[in-house]
Amino acid sequence: MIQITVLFCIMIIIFILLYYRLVQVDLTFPWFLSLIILGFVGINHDLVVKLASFFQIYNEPLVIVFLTFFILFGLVTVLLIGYTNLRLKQIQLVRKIAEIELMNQSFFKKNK
Amino acid sequence: MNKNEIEEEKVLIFIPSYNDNLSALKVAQEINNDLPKADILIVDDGSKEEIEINKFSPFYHYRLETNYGLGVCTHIAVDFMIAHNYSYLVRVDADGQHPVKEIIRMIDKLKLKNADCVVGSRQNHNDKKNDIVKNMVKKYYNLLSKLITQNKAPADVNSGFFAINLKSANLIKCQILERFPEPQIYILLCNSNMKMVEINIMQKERVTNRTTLTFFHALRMFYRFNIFLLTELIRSSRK
Repeated sequence: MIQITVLFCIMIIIFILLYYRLVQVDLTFPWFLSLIILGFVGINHDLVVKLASFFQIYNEPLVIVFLTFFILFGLVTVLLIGYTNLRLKQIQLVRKIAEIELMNQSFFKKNK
Repeated sequence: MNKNEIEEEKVLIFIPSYNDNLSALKVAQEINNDLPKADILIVDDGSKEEIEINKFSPFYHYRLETNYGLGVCTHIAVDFMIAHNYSYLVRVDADGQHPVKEIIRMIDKLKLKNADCVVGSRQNHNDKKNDIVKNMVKKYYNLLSKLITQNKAPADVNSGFFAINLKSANLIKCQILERFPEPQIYILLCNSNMKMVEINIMQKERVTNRTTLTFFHALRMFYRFNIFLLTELIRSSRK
């Protein structure tokens, strides 16, 4: 039951982060999904054996390690996409603010 | 075409500046003496020391609170150009390396040759024989740019001395320009069938400060350039 305890602890940490609004709820969704997958694989021994035979992995617990790497890579990619979107939105805002400021300068220069 | 004829057109001169503020003001003043009717916009890309321009100054000035890179600065200038309906936008570097006297020749080419973009190709930028790697990288940029644009790209795709008209500005506005966006701009314009004209210029010595292009910047620029070329290649093959 150690797997479930660890996953439960991670979920509590994520909930605390959400409670104090340190992370945005939408961005934690991939975390939530990956925890469910890891939890399911962690307690389901038959599934691990089937996955190991499917991917021809002789040492069965390695399936969990590879799955964790895969999920981590997915999480980082999702975060990168999120960060890129935020950066683009920030640049749009910066451009808009600059446009307004320069419009004010133009108005001032024309009316001085 | 003489100065007076050019002054009838609405021209915006854009000077991006990063830690080059003193020199930027000198360049702006020099342009103002040469082309008094042209509007000058200085965009300070989050320099450590704030540029001191009062509101009665003839120049437009905008300061970014943090360093966003040349791409964002160019977007700000292009947005301003489109919003105020300027006919031409000329970019001049703040370090004083670009020959200000050539601005007239560039606008002249835009107007009389119906060009959409005029690039000042530096004739003396490969003079430093010690910078073998730097020169090789520049040759690589130029060669690949020529290949991807079917020889339409200018000979110096890293030149920051260029002039565009409103048509090109509208095309650039829709893009997302990155740091050091010159190759991206020229390749984009060439592949969109814009008329590109080159003039040969002699680059002057840098007045103050050092270049903003550090080793890691150059490495990232190289990576970005190759990714951009690859995406352009896929995009053009899809058309």
